[in-house]
Amino acid sequence: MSAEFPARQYRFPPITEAVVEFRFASPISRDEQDQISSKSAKYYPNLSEISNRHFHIEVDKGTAEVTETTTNLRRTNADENEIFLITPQSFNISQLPLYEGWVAFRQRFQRDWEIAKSILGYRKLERLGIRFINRLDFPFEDDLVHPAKYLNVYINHPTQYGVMQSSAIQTRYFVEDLNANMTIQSATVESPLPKHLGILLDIDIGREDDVPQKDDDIFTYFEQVRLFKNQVFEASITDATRERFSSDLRLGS
Amino acid sequence: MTFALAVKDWSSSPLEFNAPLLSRMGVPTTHTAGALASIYNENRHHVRSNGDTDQETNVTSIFERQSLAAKLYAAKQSAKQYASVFGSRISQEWRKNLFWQLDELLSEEEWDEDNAILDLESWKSFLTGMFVIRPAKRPGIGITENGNVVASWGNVSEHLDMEFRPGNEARWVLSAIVDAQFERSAESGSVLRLLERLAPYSPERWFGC
Amino acid sequence: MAVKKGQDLPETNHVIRHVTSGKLRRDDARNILGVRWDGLQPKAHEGLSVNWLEFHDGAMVDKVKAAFDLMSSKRNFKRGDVLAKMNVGTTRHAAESSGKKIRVVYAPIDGNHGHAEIRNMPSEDEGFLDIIASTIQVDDCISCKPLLELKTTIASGEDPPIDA
Repeated sequence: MSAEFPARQYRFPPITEAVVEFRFASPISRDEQDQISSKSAKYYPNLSEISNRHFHIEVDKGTAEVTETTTNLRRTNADENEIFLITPQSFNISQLPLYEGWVAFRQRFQRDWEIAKSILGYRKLERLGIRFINRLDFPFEDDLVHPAKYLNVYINHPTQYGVMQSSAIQTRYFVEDLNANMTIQSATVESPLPKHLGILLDIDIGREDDVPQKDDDIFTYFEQVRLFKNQVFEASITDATRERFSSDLRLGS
Repeated sequence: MTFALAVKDWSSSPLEFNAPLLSRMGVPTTHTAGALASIYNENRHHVRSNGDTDQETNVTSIFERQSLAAKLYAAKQSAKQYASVFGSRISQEWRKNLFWQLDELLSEEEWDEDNAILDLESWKSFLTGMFVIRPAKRPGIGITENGNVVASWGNVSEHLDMEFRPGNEARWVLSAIVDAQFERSAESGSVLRLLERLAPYSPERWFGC
Repeated sequence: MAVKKGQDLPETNHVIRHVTSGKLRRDDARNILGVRWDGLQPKAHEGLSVNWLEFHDGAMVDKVKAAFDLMSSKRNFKRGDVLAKMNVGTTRHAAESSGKKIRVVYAPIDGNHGHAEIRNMPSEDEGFLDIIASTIQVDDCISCKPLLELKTTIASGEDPPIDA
């Protein structure tokens, strides 16, 4: 794929969220979550605790009981665009706009991984995931947006159906080179821009098999995933979309 | 019949609705950390720390019992999170300035307790309005008594004060010197038609473009 | 000149209005550019609450401090708020130029004997209120921050700072 879809740098990438996930084979304790949270506080001063309650409801008897209570610790920076989510099973590092490039993002999640390791020591990883959610905004032309003009991933349907009001696609692949599963999701969404339609292009690559456990292997794997993800993105969009990246509506320069 | 229900109060990607489907297919997904969470305006179940689950109609009552500091923080958080929806379309300089103005406006030290907290829907209208106008000059931001964002440009003699209301509506008061005459106007209308409505007053005098 | 309760204040006199931070027109650096129309919006069917400066003796700066002290017993001031100084005559004439007749009357209340009211200000006429607000220049917007600091200094028993 790499030769056909060379990597490009976009000054204004359409990324709405970039996520890296480290998922553990066995849960970490609440105390360990708290320690990781405290140690990362200087980078993420805002903390929200979110309780997850699992209920078992016997509808016939009309009874309910709490079967499990877990807590997620969600830390954010002052601008609310850097998120560190610590759950009993995983931790997720999210970057909301402005996405300042892979290098900055990698430095952050590598730092946060080091923080977690300093508390947990070695814990077997069950899954490594990278997910990039892009939202592409297209202007209405005579009240229509033509997905085929902008994307190579879209629903093809008979014209007899009429005008499509909304759509959602989900496809799944096995990426042999990465020994990973890739899920592509795309759906129409409301655009915050006036007179535009939003289309999400969500690329999620996760590895559950023979997951790298050593740091060097983990980060080498992430670099490989990132390159592949970029190629998938380029393969998914047309030149008409690329042109929009430099001419799009913007506040400031 | 029994079923297990897991309730969360943070929202994730708009595509997370697919997560249950993917789970049934045996497909794990990378969980997002909440791109579009809005603590008090979203249609969500909210789980209190004592374990009770509230339907959305009770979220307001929880909110009302929060301290002023918590409400102001929540308002700032929601406004900043919503701004991320625009992605890189809001430049670093604009983002930094808008967030700084929000921090100053919604600081506990400065807050007028008689004021309603910032209305997120008004903030959304404000950001939409900015993308309609795309001013070269950033506005100063204020707030009305009922929590609506006001964007201001100009000075005492020639100014534009624009109140953004939920649902992409706006109300504005302006004064301008047009053909050597003082013109004043107080009007309202759709945010989407702001430029057409302001055109007779040469709005570049305020917007710098 | 003695003014009785309910009487109009002289045209050469001044009143000050407490305008909260959010109702000031500011630029994107938070510099004050003026007072917005809703900073002068009265509650429906009520007069606009202000304080009469010439109720107090001394130089204007002393009148402002004294009025601030009186108002503080009834109002909660924040550092970002201002006292907007309005000339009675200028305010009345601005209203008349828009075809409205307002009155600026002495209206003492318990705990604030310097209280006054601007009456007949329509609470829903933004255009008119903007005209009146436009009579307030930037220099007429007196920051509450030093006034609050002065109160704190006096309350703590320290010597108040000397005006430069």
